[in-house]
Amino acid sequence: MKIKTLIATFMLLSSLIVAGCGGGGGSSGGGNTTGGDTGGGSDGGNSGGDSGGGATDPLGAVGTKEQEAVRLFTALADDIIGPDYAGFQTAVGDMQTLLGGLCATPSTASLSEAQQAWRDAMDGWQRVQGVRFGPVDADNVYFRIQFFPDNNDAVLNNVGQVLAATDPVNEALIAGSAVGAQGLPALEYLLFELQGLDDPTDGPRRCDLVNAIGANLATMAADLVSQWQQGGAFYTDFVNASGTSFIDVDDVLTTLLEALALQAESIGDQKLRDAIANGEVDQLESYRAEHSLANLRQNIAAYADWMDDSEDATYRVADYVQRVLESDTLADQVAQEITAADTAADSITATLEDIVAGQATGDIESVRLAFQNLADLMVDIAVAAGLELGFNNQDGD
Amino acid sequence: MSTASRREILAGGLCLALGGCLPSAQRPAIVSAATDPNGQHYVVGLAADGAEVFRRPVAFRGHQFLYAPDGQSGVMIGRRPGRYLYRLDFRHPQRDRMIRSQAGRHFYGHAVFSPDGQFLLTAENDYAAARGVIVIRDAWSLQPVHEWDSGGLGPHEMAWLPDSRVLVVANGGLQTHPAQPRKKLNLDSFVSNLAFLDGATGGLLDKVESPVPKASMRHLDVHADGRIVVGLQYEGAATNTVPLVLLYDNGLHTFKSDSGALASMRQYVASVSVASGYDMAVATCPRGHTLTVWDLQARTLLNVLRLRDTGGVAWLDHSDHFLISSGGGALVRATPQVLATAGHLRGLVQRVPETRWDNHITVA
Repeated sequence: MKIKTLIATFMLLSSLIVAGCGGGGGSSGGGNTTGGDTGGGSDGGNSGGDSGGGATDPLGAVGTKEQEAVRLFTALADDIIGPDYAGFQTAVGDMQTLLGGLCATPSTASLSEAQQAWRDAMDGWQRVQGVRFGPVDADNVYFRIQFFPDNNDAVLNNVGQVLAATDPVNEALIAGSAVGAQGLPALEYLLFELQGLDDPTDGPRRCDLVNAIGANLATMAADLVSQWQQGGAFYTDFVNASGTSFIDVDDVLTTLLEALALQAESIGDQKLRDAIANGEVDQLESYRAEHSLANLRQNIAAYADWMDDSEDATYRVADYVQRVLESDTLADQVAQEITAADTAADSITATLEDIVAGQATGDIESVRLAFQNLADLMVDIAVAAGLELGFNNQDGD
Repeated sequence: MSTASRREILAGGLCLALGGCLPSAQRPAIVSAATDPNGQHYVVGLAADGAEVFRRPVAFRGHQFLYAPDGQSGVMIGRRPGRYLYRLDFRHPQRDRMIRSQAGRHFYGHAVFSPDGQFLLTAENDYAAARGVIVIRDAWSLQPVHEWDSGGLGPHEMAWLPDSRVLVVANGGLQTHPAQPRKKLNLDSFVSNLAFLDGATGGLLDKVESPVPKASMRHLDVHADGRIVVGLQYEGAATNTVPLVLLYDNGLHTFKSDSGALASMRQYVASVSVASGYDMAVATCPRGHTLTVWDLQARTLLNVLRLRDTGGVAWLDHSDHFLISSGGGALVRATPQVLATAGHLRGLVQRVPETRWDNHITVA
């Protein structure tokens, strides 16, 4: 980390020197700057460097920092975040249908179909799990969709409380219940562990709960899609770095990098390190469905898409790093870590649950290490961009 | 917190007695602790327009800064678990000096000068005895001369009530020990209170416990009429939404607000400041990246505004503005009207490069 920070500092100093000589457009420079309206502003453009830019770049000539940032935000929203939320909504809708079928005609086959639908919905969620800002960040929506890590058995306890009560179970009740009873982990518990949906005594209430959780998830997914679709309230603020959500492009960029750092840290620490260190299977993210490795693979794929999807003509974070921050080094380091995580995850043939339980082997440690490094690299990118990912908000008093 | 008017009057009087103070142009209008991207800590002084007057490296992370009554110097208090005070001479940096806490003690980042300017009162942790103390120090030498019990654990921000006879202390209630510097040792059982101490004797006059379980009262500011606005930090479950700003007015009261706005505060208030003439307070919430604006008359939340990693807030009485800082180097000047009604702060943000402003900002 120290070496990388030194490299990043060197890159920052270099960019300042370049900026000083050529009027370059880095976000940090001498003297105070007064923030103004965003999008399309002119800060002197970019004088080019050892990477990116140039007439042969499929992304075209490098614009101002603000122009490049808006291209990045628009591409991420249009190509990844919006479609991924839509995919999650579709998967939740399909699951809702199958949950209804399961309760109408409980059977081994319908339970199996519902379980698969849950896996698909969880896969859809894992694609967007790293978007820890915007509408998902309001009103506990994130935790209501997935409460994790669950160190105090909130899912078990909150579901148990709902099942033990006698008031009618419906979407409104669940939407106002404790988060452990609301989301995908609650469904996972009901479908993969508790089951008994055809039990003559307990089955009807369990079915009501399963359907209510499905409906609640569908409502939240629909709101997220609405806000993130083109013209949606948050979409507009995000791509324009404006509205009530953002002050300027640096605000959006910091939010993005912070989300990427947080997701990498969460994968390295909460999803892997804690379970590995303690040998506790129930600290894995989706241990009841034995789906934790599948989650990880979706996370890796999503992270790769955000950073660099290998398509020359689409704008991604790595393009911004190369074109605006003029750092091939950072972009390359990010690519190497994603490749390392992907390769290690692909090599794993057992479930994470079996590996953590000591019943199988697999190179989880390389995945964990890669994400730990990615978290550091997001900080390095922020430093290179003259941004502060967290100071008072990380460790205040 | 800002008590600019009282301090200015006090400083002015002492300056006359001492035979003259610095011309206002040489005294920074704004001072804050700051840290650069390499982790070097500073105390930074700015002119009223934001131009840098000085940036002096210090060996520790500061928290609150106080202008000294002599008008020519100030004191930076080390952030919990701080071991140091830093006396800063505005005109003669070579006279700056650092004072270490007594053995078995550390600072909590906050202090006040006594109304007569003779003493500096520092909030400290007697960690061997798990006891909060207010240490009375000579205002010039900063050496301890006496101490009072703070009335609770974890004394944090404190202020004089308008009559200057009663000191109100926000005892956060959390037990800490420098061996585990950022760990809270009594999370399951802590009780936070506002303690009202006799300013002459230190005797406990009254104590009001937090009505919000698992919430630590840490920061406060005093209205000219004696009401107190208190900022809280919640230590309970991440998904709980609780009141984080309280008004003391013959008891602690909550404000009317909606749960979404409370949730946007992310369980953490870093600093509060009152504009008495407007019956308004601003509370900064760095974890939620929000400023919250409160109507003290109607006891209601007026507005929530985004400012990333916001921390410091102070009221500039002479220009009818709030000054707000952030960990990203932002300084925002905004009138009460703007803060009460605006949808955003664009156009009001001045950024100081390479500068992470710490949780508190002080104006002369």
